[in-house]
Order: sequence, then C-alpha cells, then structure tokens
Amino acid sequence: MANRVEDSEGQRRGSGKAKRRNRWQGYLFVGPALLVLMVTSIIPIIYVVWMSFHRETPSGESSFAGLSNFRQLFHDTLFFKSIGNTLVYTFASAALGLSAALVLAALLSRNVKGSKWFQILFFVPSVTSEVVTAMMFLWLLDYNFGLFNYVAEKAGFERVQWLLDPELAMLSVVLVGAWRGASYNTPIFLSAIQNIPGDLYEAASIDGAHAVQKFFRITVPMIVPILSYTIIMAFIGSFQMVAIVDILTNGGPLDSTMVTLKYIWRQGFEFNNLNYAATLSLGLLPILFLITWIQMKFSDRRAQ
Amino acid sequence: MDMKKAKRWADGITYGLLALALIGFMFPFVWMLGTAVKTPAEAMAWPPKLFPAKPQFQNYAGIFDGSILLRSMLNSVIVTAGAILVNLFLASLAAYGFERMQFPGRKFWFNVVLATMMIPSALLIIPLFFIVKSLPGSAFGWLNTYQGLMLPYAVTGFSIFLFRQFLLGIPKEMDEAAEMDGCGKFQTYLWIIVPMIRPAIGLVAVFTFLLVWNDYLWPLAVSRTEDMYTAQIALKFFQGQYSTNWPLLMAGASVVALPSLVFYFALQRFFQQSLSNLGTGVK
Repeated sequence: MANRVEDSEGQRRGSGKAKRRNRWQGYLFVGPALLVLMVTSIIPIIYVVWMSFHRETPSGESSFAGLSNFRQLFHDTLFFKSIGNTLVYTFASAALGLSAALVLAALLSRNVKGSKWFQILFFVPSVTSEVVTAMMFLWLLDYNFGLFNYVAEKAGFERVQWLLDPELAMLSVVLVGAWRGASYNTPIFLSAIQNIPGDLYEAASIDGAHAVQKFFRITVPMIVPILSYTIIMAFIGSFQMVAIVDILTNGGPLDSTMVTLKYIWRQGFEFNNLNYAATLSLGLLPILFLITWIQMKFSDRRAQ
Repeated sequence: MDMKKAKRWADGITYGLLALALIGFMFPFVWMLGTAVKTPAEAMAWPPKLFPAKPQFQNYAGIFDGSILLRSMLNSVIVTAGAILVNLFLASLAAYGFERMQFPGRKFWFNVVLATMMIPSALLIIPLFFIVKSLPGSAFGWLNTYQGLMLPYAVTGFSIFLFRQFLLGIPKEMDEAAEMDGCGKFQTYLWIIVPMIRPAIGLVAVFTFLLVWNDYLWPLAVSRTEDMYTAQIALKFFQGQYSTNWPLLMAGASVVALPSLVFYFALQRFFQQSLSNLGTGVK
C-alpha cells in the first residue's frame, strides 16, 4: 500500500508530456470493460427509470406520462399477487432446499469413502439448464403417463393433476426449485463446514455430545454467515426464476404460479406494454434491496 | 470396541442417506435417457419401464431431422464461445488495470464495477432490450444477431472482481521485473500476467459457459426468427411441436443438456475450487 502511494506521488511530480499521458493510461485497460458495463448495466438502470415515466403512443413515439404507470402499478392486483407467489415459492423452496443441502453437506463432511463422487454427482442438477430441468419434471409430473402418478397409484392414492390444480401446481414448482437449490448449495455448505475448526468438535466429543447435538450446537451456529448468504441468493434467484414456470405451468392455473418476472415478461413482450413492464421492474427493486437489508441486519445481529 | 461399532453405524446411516439423495438427484436424468430411446407406445406403457427392451437410438436422428435443433446448437456454440473469449479478455485486462495501474478515478470506477454485481440482471431485460434494439446496424439494431445475443455476457462485474482477487495474490515484483526489461504495460499483461492467472481464466470460462449456454430469458427476447434460436429456446419450442411425443422431447432435452454435462465433468477441478472459494470468500 505504502508503495502504491509513493508511486502515484512520483507520477504526480513528473511534469513531462509522457508522464501526463501515463496518468491516464489505465483507461486503455479498464475502458473497454467499463464501456460494456455502461451499456449492459448502468444505462439500463437509468433507462428503466426514464421508461417508467413515459408511455408509448399509438404512433410509436414516447410521451411523458407522469406518474400514471405507477398509479397503474398500485392498482395492479396481479402484480402484487405475483410478488406473493414469488415469496411463497422462495420461502418453501429455500426452506426445503437449504435444509436438505445442509444435511447433505454435514453427511459429506464425514468424508466416508467415495464421498468425492457423491459430491460431484450431487452438483449435476445445478449445471443443467432450467429449461432441461423443467422438461424432465414435466414428463415425471405428466397426468396420464408420468412416473409420479404411477407411484401415487401404486401407493394407493388417486392420480392427481400436478400441474393443473392451483395448489399442487405451486407445490410442483417449489419441488423443482428445492431440487435445484439442494444441489447448488450443498458444496457451499460443505466448504463452510470444512472450515470450522476441528477442536470445537473434539471438545464437544469429550463433553459427551453425540452427532446430532454436534450438528445443531456447533455446525449450524458456525455457518450462520454462509446460511444468510445462501438465503439472500435464494431470494434474489427466485425473483429471476422464470423458465421453470414458463414450461411447467405458464403461470397458471388461475395465475397460481405467476411469479413476478413471468408477469413482467407478459406485460412487456406478450401485451407489448414495455413501459409499464419497466415500471414493474423498477417497483421490484426496493423489495429486493429491502430483503438484502433485512438479511444483512439479521446476520449482523447473529454474528455479534 | 464400542466406538468402532458406533462409527460403523454412523457410516452405514451416512451411506444410506447419501445413496437416497443420489437417487433423488440422478433419477430424473436416468428417466430422461430411458424415455429418449423408447417408442411412443413404450413411453405410455403402464406400468412404465425404466429402459425399453430394444433401445430406439434412431430417436436421436429423428430429433435433428428437419428440425431447428442442429442450427440452434450451433448458434449456442457461437454465442457461448464468443462471450467466453470476449469476457476473458476484457475482464482480465480491466482487472489488471484496476489492480496494477494508477489513474484518476480508479477507485470510483472499481466501485461502479462492484455495484453492477448487485443489480439483478433479470430486471434489466426490458431496458436492455430497447438499448439493443436501438444500436446501430439495422432497423432492429442488434436484435436477432449474434452480437446482440452475446452483449449482456460480454463483461460481467463478477469476472472482473474474480480476476482482480486473483491478481492480489501475485507478487508485484513479477511485473516490475518485466517492466525493467523494457516491457510495456500491455506486454507485461500479455506475457507475465495472463500465464499466471490461468486458474482464474478457467474459473471465469466455466462460469460464463454455464451462464450463456443455459440462459433462457435473454435469447428469448432477442431472437426473432427460428434460425437465431439458441438451444434452450429451440427446446422450449419442441414442447409445442412434439407435445406428447415424450421420447423425442426427452431425446431433445438430453442433447441440449449434454454440453453442460461434458463441460462440468471435464473441468471438475475448477468447479471444486470455485465452490470452495464461494464458501469461504463471503464470510
């Protein structure tokens, strides 16, 4: 650090033309990347605000619309319903997926023979696209010939409309989300567990604690920071999830699986209300920031 | 003796639960592969069988025959490879600039890079769509073009950040020695830094591959005609085309899944490393 300060002072003292050009040379290196980030991230953020205050006229031109898009948003029950659906999806799939991942990570951390192979194969769902995942489950959940209904019938239940019954449809989407979440978070938890100092467990063993006690008294409290990170990621991920819903249910039945991004997409690209869709995107930002903020407060308190 | 017995029990339970999870994670794939080589009648047989008596490998030929699958796979390869190359070059170059050079506004711009990592990209799809539509090139800008499909992944804040973290661990004496020998900044980057950050290059390549190959919403927005579909979009449209021909649908799904799986198993090393970084880096 000290070195760097000296460097920059040395450059400042230099007065030749070459030295002055040197001062800006860094931009040759960071400039191209910054230019792309400007186009793909910074300008869109500004533009989404601009779009929210405008409307497309029938002639295809934009005109200032004041707060009318926002007024529409506040009366848009389907938008709020979609947020509710997304939250239900997030809570349920995160609760299922993260607890499964935690248990699997704890089991893998016992390092039994072959656990490396389990670890490698457990991650396969995470490298598979949402579209392929949804296709596989679409087939498993098929009413007439799907394996789920076959097993249900074998077990003495009646076959069910997994994707056409409003409550079961959400459950199906949650299951697929949990399946992916369990896969994705297992290695994250595993490396967190492996970083817990071993003497904690030894001390607990001397005090006579058994495996389950050690899991809840040592493992779980020690990985709270990682846990809160994975929860934030699950929330943010849920608000970006759309392909699974698109293929399994298309948002239905009766909008029961209409998640927010799907609704934004529908407004923008199916109903061609791009300005209103931009407003909805903007409306979602405070919610995402709020979630992150709550989560940070929560993990701060737990850490103390 | 008692301890040993307890350990045997614990190991047994561990194996039991891990095996159960393995079935849970792997079964949908096995079922997909089994269905992909069945006849339609076999797929609808009751009770269902895992694998058919005689595998119908011609289903795989059938799925390519006269369909957009081959073209869309090729599109995906082009877009993914292009995005990886551009991202690797621009991100590592920027990371080198931020970490090894002094210039006015350096801190500010690096914070901007970090901030872009926090923005949920899906929320930017609508404005980005408009921007891409108005880029110079044609009446529809970059819509329905390879460069339009690539643009959002051309540089990510995450890859700049990752390269920069990696550079922090490389002693400055290396580049200083090179500059002493008369290397310019760019030559130092190219001949000294790039060979030393190979592990980070592998990591960014892996992440970019999965991001681009598996993405759904952006190519759905940008591709306007069938010949510009990516593999994921083509697969989604198969759903409508083959609605209840499950063997063909599953054959298509397994073909689209294959490249990610090959990539994953071939680059195991980088995955293990990246995930443990993820686990420890954010504490």
